[in-house]
Amino acid sequence: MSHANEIKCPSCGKWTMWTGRVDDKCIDCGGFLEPERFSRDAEKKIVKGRRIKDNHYFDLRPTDGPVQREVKLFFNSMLWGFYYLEIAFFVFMTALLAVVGIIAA
Amino acid sequence: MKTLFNGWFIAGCLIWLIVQTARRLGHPLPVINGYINDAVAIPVIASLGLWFQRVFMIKNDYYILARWHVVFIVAYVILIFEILLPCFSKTYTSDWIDMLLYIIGGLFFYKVMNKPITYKNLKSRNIINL
Ligand SMILES: [Zn+2]
Repeated sequence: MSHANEIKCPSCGKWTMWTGRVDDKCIDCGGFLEPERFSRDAEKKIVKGRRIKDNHYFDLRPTDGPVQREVKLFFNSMLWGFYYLEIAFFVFMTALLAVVGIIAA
Repeated sequence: MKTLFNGWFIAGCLIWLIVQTARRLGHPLPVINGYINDAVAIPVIASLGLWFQRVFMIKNDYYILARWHVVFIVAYVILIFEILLPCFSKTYTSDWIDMLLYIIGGLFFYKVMNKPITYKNLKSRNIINL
């Protein structure tokens, strides 16, 4: 048996079962019980998928020295990995604020 | 688009539009003119950010912004509108009440508006029954 607890659903406020899984949903409204955790998990999954897909931003060559190799691997994961979502978010926010600033001026 | 059918978001946009129009027409609203925009700025901007993340990045309506996203937006808005722009333009002036209102707006967004979209949520916001 899984350890099920009763907790209050954050979206409808009714008591529901919670087994501690990231995708636990409310039996009453179907909302995720831990939207914060679910959201961070969704971000991670997208980042992971992208990291595998775009792994070859800098191609690794057999002639590369160990330092060169590490640097390339580092930039590969930096450029298309973790910061991808955040950079997109940052660029969107900047564009938005620029527009707001122009209208409000 | 459901993210933007939030009553708070629409109210914020309307307030901003009214204040902006009144200012353009040369009848700036007393008291409200200076401060209400700052109070609604963060909830409106953060909602657009949430919408962007939901539609283009995560592609999921259950997604909500992380605490640091909201902190970042507040810090960024304060940096641009209260620190950078007042240095270059006379129309912008720095004011600690503005900063306080931005922070309150950020807290309001995080506690009240940063919620996953569920059927019940939509219903309670009178979106489905409209
Ligand atoms: Zn529920």
